[in-house]
Amino acid sequence: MVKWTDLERSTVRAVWEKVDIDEIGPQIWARVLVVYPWTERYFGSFGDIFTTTAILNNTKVAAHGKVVLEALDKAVKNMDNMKRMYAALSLLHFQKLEVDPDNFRLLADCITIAIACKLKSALTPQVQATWQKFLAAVVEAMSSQYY
Amino acid sequence: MVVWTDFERATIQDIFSKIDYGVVGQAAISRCLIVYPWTQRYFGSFGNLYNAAAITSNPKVAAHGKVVMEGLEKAVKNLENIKATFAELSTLHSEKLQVDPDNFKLLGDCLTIVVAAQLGKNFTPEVHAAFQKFLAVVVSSLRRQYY
Repeated sequence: MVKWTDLERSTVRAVWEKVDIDEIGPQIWARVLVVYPWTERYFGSFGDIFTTTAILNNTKVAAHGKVVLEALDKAVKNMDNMKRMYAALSLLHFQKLEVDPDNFRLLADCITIAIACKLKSALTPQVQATWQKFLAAVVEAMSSQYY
Repeated sequence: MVVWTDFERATIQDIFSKIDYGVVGQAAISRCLIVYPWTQRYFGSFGNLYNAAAITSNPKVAAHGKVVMEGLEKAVKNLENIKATFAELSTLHSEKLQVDPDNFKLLGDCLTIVVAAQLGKNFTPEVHAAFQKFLAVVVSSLRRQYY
């Protein structure tokens, strides 16, 4: 099981407090869909997702950004129990949505970069290290029901 | 062979014209040493790397950061021929320095975060995509002479 120091817990919470879900939600998808275009295949029902402008104005993308970040919020509040908490979501992404789990890491990278753009020098190396550890645990929990 | 669009060339050149090699190089290497601590093993001759404060104030780390950025500048000036430009460097990292080539990607990721933090909202998804494409080509060229 992942061990968290008190400093790591407070660091993750401090970063998360600065994240505005409505602002960052669409941005993370814009980055994933533009930087890793093969991910568009998962969002066939979303309409126009083929340019940054279209993605940022797309209401389905915004809604999905919110869904993902609200799920991440649960992880921030339950850092000791992510695997169990995400078991059903992991199974859903595996069996029903058929998402390649490598893409979880790509999304995590884009979340970190979106946060870097917002926090700038406040995302110090130590804060980055802690935040990446947190997202790695999330990615692992989301991958846990795949085999 | 890699094909670059006009936008990608202009973007990569623009980024490198805006960043201070000393500052960005030092920040990227420091982040790598802090976020991925096993990379410290390559810098035994650099003296004190025992904690984040030591790393960020270490003059050898700073100097090496500048060396790396000047190396990247060669790639920026030779976008059509990055593979040939880095052939010798690749052999050096493989045969003499014995660096695990997976670490090139880690340094690239840290550099992306430093540039993102500096450019803020100007690090748009398209700029992000172009920069990552550039780094992917650099990493691939540096891996090239490894067997």
